[in-house]
Amino acid sequence: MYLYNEQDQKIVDQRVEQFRGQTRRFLAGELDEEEFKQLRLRNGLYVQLHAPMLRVAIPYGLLSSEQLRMLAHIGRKYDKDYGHISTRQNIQFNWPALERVPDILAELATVQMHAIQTSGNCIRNVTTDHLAGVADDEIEDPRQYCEMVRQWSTLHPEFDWLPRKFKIAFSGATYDRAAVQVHDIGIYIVKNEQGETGFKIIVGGGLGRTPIIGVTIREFLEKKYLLSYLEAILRIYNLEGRRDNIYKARIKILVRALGIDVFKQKVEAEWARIKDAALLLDGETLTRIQQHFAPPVYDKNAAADVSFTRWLSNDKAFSTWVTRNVVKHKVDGYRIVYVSLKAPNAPPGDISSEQMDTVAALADQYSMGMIRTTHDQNLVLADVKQHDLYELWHVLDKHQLATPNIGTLNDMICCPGMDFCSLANAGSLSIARQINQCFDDLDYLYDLGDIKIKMSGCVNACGHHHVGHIGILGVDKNGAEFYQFTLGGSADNRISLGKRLGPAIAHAKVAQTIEDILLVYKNERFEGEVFLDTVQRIGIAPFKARVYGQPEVKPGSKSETKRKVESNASY
Amino acid sequence: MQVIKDSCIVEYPWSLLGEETPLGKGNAALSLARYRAEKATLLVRDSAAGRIGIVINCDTSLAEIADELEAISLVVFDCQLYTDGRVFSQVRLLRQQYGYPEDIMVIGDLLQDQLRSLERCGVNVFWPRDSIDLTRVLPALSEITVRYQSS
Ligand code: SF4
Repeated sequence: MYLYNEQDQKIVDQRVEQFRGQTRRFLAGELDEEEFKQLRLRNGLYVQLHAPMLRVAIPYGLLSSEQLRMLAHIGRKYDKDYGHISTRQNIQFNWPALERVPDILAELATVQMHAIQTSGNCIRNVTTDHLAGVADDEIEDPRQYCEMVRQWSTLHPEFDWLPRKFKIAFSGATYDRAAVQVHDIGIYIVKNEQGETGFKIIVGGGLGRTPIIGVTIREFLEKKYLLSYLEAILRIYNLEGRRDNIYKARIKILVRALGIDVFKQKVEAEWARIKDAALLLDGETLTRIQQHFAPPVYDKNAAADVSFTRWLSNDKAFSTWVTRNVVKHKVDGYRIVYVSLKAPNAPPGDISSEQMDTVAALADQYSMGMIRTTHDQNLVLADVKQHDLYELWHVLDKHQLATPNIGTLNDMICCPGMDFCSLANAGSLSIARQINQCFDDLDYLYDLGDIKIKMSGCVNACGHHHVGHIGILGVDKNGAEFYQFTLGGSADNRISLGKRLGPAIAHAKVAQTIEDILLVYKNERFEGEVFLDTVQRIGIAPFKARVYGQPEVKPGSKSETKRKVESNASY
Repeated sequence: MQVIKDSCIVEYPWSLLGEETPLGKGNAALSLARYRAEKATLLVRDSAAGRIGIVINCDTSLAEIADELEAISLVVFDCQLYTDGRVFSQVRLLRQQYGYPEDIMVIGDLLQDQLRSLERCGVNVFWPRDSIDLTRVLPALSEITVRYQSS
C-alpha cells in the first residue's frame, strides 16, 4: 500500500487547518451558505436530510487495519456507531455534527486519511478492481497507476472548479470488475501487439440522468504518457464543458455534442503540446510508486494444508459460505474472502464500529493487515491462507459478516435513498428490507445464481440502477413512492444499459414484481444459463407480459415453478 | 489601487478604465472592445505616458488575443462567477502555450480560497473584491505550501 511521506502528510494536515478556518468563517458569517457549500463539498461534507454527511476517501478501495480501526473510532465518537460503504469504495458517516468535522478530519489525518475531493465539481476518488493484485486474470496491478492519478489529481490547481464532478476508474484484469465504461474516464490496462503494457482510454461514460457508455479515445497509450493524456482531456473539458445547465455539464455531454473525432482531435492537439514536458513519467517515478504495491511475501507451503478440504466436507454451512463468498487467489493455497455487508436485517453496505474492529483484527491475523472495499458495498480480505478460512469464517459469522450471499439477489447495491438523502424520490432501504424478507431461502437464491439488483432513490443513479441486471429507480407519483424497473443492464466488459420494463410499480409490489421476473427466468432459462444471458436472449417482452398481467401464451413454456412465497402483497 | 502582488500587499500603478473614462497619463487596462477600437492611437502613444493592458473574461478565447499580447503589459481576467473554473485553464495556457511573461491579474467574483490555485496556474496579481480587506485574504496564499504537481 502507498505510505505517506512527509510531503503527503503535510498536504492533508494543512488541508485540515484550511478547512477549520473555512468552517470558522462560515460560523462567523463571513462565508455565505453557497460559498461554504462549495468549500465543504470539496472536503466531503454534504448537508443531508437529518444531518451533515461526511464522505471519507478510501483511495481505490484500499485500507490498512489501522485505518479501519480509525474509521470504527470515528463512528463511535462522532457518529451513531456505524458507517456506510458507498458505491465508489468510500465510506460515509451520516450523523456528524458540522462543527466537529474539522476534528474528525484531523483524526483521520493521523492515519493518512482524508475527505479531500470526495464530492464537489472536481476529480473524485479514483476507483479500481477490488481484486487488484490478487486476481488470476490480471495483466498488471492497476493500483500503482491509481496512486499516480491520485497524486496528480489531489489539489490540482487547475481542475478544482470543473463544470461537474469527474470520476476515473481503472481495471488491470481481463474481466472488468470496476465498471470502467461508465466513468468520465475509464482506463483498461492492455497489451499491444508488441507485448508492451499500456492503457486503453475510454471517455465520456457515466450514469446519472443521461446514462451513456463511454467511447474509446485511444486504443493504446504508452505508460509514460498517462498523466499528460489525462491532463489534456481535463483541460479541454474544463474549457469547453457546459456550465449553463447542471444536467448537461458532464463530459459525456461534451463528447457527444462534439463527436468523438472532434473531441479527440482537440485532446490530442493539447496532448502533443504537453506530453514530453513535466508530466512525463520517468522510470524512476514508476518504480518508486510500484514498490509500494509489491506483492506481499506468500507462504510457499500454504497449499500443503489439508484441513481446508476436510472442513469443506464436514461442515455444510462452511462449505456453502466458501462456495458463495470465497474466490480463487492467484497464489496456490490462498483464497480471497468477501466479507458480506448484506446481512438480511441491515441496510446494504452498512458496517458497525464493532464490525469494523473485528474485520481489522481479522485482517491483521489472517490477511496481511489489509482490507479492500468493493463498489458492490462489501469488503474483501484478499490474502487468506486456505488453512485459516475455517477460523476466519467462525469469527465473521459471529459478527453477521458471513451471510453467504455474495453475487446473489440479496447482495444488492442500494443508495441511502429517502432515509438519508434530500434528493430522493423514494425509499430504497425499505425496498431492500422487503426484498430480503421475501427472498430469505438461500437454496432458492443459489438456484437463481448470479443476479445483480441495483437500486437508486432518484435519477442521480448513485445506486447504478442502469447497469443492474435488475435495476430499480425510485420515482415520485403524486407524492407516492413508485419504482421504475429496468432489466438486462450490466457493468462488466459486455456493458449494457437496462431496458425499461414498463410503468413504475407501487412500493408494496416491488418484491412481488421481482418474483414475477424471476419466475419467467426460471421458466425460460437453458440449463446453466444465468439471468442476464436469458434476459438478453429472450428480450423484455415475456417479463413485461408476466408483470403487467397481459396474457403470456408461449407454447412449450415449462410449467410454472411453485412460488416460494405464495402471497406477499401485504408488504 | 491596492492589490496582492507576488504574495505582498502593494500599491499597484495601474488603473482599470471604464468604457467612458478618458485615457490620461499612467498605466491603464482597457476592455478588449475599447482596446480594439482605439488600437491605432494606443500603439503610437508615448511609452513614457504609461503602459497598456486589457481586461478580458472567461468567454474570451485566447486565440483571439494572441496577436495583441506582444504590445500588452497586463492581462486582467474579470471573473463573473467564482465557480466558473475556466479561468484556471486560461491562465495556465496564457503562460504555458502563449508564453506570456508580464503580469496576469484576476479581479471580480473570487473566493480567497481560490487564490493559491490561481497563483499556481500563473496569476501574480489579485484584486479579489472591492470591499475585501486584503490583510485578511493574504494568509490564504500560504495555507497549503506543498503540492504534488510540478507547478
Ligand atoms: S440516487 Fe438519488 S436518492 Fe440515492 S443517494 Fe443518489 S441522489 Fe440520493
